[in-house]
Amino acid sequence: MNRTPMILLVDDDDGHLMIAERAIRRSSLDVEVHVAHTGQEALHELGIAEGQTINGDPFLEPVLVMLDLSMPGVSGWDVLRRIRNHHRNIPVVVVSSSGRPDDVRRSYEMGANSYLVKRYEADRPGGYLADAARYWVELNQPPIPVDN
Amino acid sequence: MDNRPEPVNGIPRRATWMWRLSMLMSFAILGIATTLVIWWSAMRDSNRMAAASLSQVAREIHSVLNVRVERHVEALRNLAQFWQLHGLLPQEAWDFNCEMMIRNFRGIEWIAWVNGRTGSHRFASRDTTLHLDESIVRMARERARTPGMDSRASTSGSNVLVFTPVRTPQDSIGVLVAAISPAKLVGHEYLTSGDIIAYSVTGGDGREIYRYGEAAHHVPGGMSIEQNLPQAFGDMWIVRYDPTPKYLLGVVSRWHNYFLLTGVLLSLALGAIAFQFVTLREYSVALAVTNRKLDAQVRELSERDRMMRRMNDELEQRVEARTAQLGEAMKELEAFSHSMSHDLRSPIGAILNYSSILEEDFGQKLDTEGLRVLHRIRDSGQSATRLLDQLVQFVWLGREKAEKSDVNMTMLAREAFQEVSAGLPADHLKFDLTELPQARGNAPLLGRVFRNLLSNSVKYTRRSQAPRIAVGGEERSEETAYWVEDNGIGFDPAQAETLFEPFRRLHSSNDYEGAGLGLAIVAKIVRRHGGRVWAESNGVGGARFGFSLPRDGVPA
Repeated sequence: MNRTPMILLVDDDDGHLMIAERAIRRSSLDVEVHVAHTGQEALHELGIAEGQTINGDPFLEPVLVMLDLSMPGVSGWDVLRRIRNHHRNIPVVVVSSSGRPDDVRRSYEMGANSYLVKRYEADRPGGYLADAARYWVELNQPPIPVDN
Repeated sequence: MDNRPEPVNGIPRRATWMWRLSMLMSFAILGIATTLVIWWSAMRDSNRMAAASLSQVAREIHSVLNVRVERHVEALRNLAQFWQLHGLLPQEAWDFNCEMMIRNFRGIEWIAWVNGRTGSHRFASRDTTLHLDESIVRMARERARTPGMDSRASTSGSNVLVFTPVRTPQDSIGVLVAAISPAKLVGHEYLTSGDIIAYSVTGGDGREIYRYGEAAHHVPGGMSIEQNLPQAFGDMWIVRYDPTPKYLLGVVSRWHNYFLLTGVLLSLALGAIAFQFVTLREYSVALAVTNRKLDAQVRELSERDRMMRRMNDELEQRVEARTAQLGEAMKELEAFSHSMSHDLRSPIGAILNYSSILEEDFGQKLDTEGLRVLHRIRDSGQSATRLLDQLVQFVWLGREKAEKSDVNMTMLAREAFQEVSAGLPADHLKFDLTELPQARGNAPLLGRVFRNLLSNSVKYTRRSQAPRIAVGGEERSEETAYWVEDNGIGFDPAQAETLFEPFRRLHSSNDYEGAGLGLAIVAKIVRRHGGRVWAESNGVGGARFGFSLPRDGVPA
C-alpha cells in the first residue's frame, strides 16, 4: 500500500500557515499537507502526545515537519524535544521569525535539521519554504529503481 | 579646608640660646664657688696647722731665749754682788772671774769695771785685741753718779751694753759694764735649720737688736707671733716670730692649686655638660613636639585612608549595583529585541502574507487603484520589516562576540560592492577600488561596514548622470583610514556630525528608502574596533564617508 507522503506544518500564525501551504501545494511536489495550529495539536498529529500510544504505523508519519518555535502553550522547543525523545528520525525544519544566534544554535543542538528565518518575498510568497520542503522530501525518498 | 598635612617644625635653636647660656653660666659659677669655698677652708685648716706648729717652735725658741737671758742677767748680778761683798778685787781674781764668765756665757763679749769716782777701769775681753773705749768709760761714770740706777742696757754696735752698778749701802763704788752680743746670746745652735722660722728681736726703744732668718713678706694671719722677753738686762725685748717663705710654700702645697684648677675646670665642664644637656632636652622636646604632630598627621592620614577605603567600598557597591542594574537593563533589552524580532515581525508578516493571498485570490476583482493600494500596503510592511531587521541588528551589535583576525579589506570591499550592486546595470555605475591596507578586526562586522557605506553610496548616486564610487585607504601614524567616496547628492556639511546618530535622515524617505540606521551601525562597529568615523561633503554633490581602525588593532 502506497500512500502519498505527508508534510506537517506547525505554526500559530494562520497567515503564515496559509502562505506556506499554498506555496507547497502550488509547487509540483506530490505531498499531503497537514497543518497544526498549536504544539499540542502537532503532538497529536505525530502520535506522541501525553498518554497517546504509538500506533507504529510508519506510513502515518510525516516525511517533514516545519516547526515554528514561538507558540503559546506547548512551544516549538517542546515539540522538537518530544520528537527527538521518541527516536524519530523525521527531518525537522525550524521556521522562526527570530534570527537570534542563540535560538539558531539551540535549535540545532536539540536536533533540528535546518533553521529558516521567516521572510517575505513579494514576487514568490513562501517560495523559500516550498524549496526547503522539496529538498527534504526528495532527500528522504527511496531511490527510484532504474527501469531497464 | 586645606587637606595638606602641616609642615613639621621644632623650636628654633635661637629661641633658647639665652636660657642655655644662663644654664652654662650658673653651673660654672656654682662649681667655681664651691671649689673656692672648699679650697679656702682647706687652706685655712692647713694654715691653722702650720700656725700651730709654728707657734710650738716659737714657744720653744722663746723659752730657750728667756732662760739664756735670765742666766746672763743673773751671772752679771752675781758678779756685781760678789764685787760688792768683797770690795775691790785684786787684778788676778778679776781676770779669773772674767775669764770664767766669758767662757761660760757666750753672749758676753767683754766685761769692764769702771770706778765711778776715779774713772779707773779694768777690762776683760773675748777678743784680746779689743780695748775699752773712752766713751764707754764716760758713759759708765755718768751712770755711776746717777743714784738708784740699776742695770741698764744700751746698744753699742752689734752689742748690748749692760751697766750694772756696784755700790755699798752708803756709796756707789762703780759700774760693771758687760757687752752682750744678742747674736751669740740667742745663737743658732738650737735651730737645726732656718727653713721654718725667722725671728727678730726689738729693743724697748723700738730699735731692732737682732734678726735671724728671712721672714716671708705676706704672712697669713695668725702665723706671726710676738712675745715679750721681759728680763732682758733691764730692757723689754720683743721677739717676733715669722714663717719663712720656704715654710709657707711647704704649707700651701701644690695640691691645693691643683685642686683649685681641677675644680674650676670641672665647673666649666659641668656648665658645658649642662648646656649640652639643656640643648639635648630642647631637641628632645622639639622632637617630642614633632613626633606628636607627626602622630596627629599619621592619625589623620590613616583616618583619611579609612575614609577613602570606605568611600571606595561604597563606590564598589554602587558600581556593583549599577552593573546589576545594567545587566538587568541588558536582559530587558534582549527581551525587547526578541519581542521586536518576533512579536512585532509576526503581525507585519501576517499583513504581508494576507496581502499576497488577497492579490493572488482576488486580484482579478480589484481595479488598478485597488491593486496600487494593495502594493502600497505590501511596501509599507516590507519597509517595516527592514526597519525591524536593522534595529535588531543595531541592538545586537554590542552583544555579540567579535572574533578578530587579519582581514583583507580589499576583498571585503569588493564582495560588499558586488552584494549591494546586484541587479544594477553593470556598466552604469563606475566603481574604483584601490589596494586597501590590511586590517585586524572582525571580518563579518567590517564587511557590514562596507556594505552599509556602499549601499548608501549606491542609493544616493542613483540619480547621478555618471555615478562613480571609489574606495580608498591609507596607513597613518597611529591608525589606518578607509573611505568610500561618491559623486551622489551629498549632504549639508553642518550635519556631518549628526549623520552617524540612529534614525537620523537627511533626505526624505519617499525619495530614498532606508531605516536611517545604516550609518549608526557603521559607527557602532568602528567604535567597537577602537576606531572613529567621519563624513565630508561640500553640500553640492559628492560625499566621502571615512572610518579608521587603530594600527595595533586595539580591542573594543
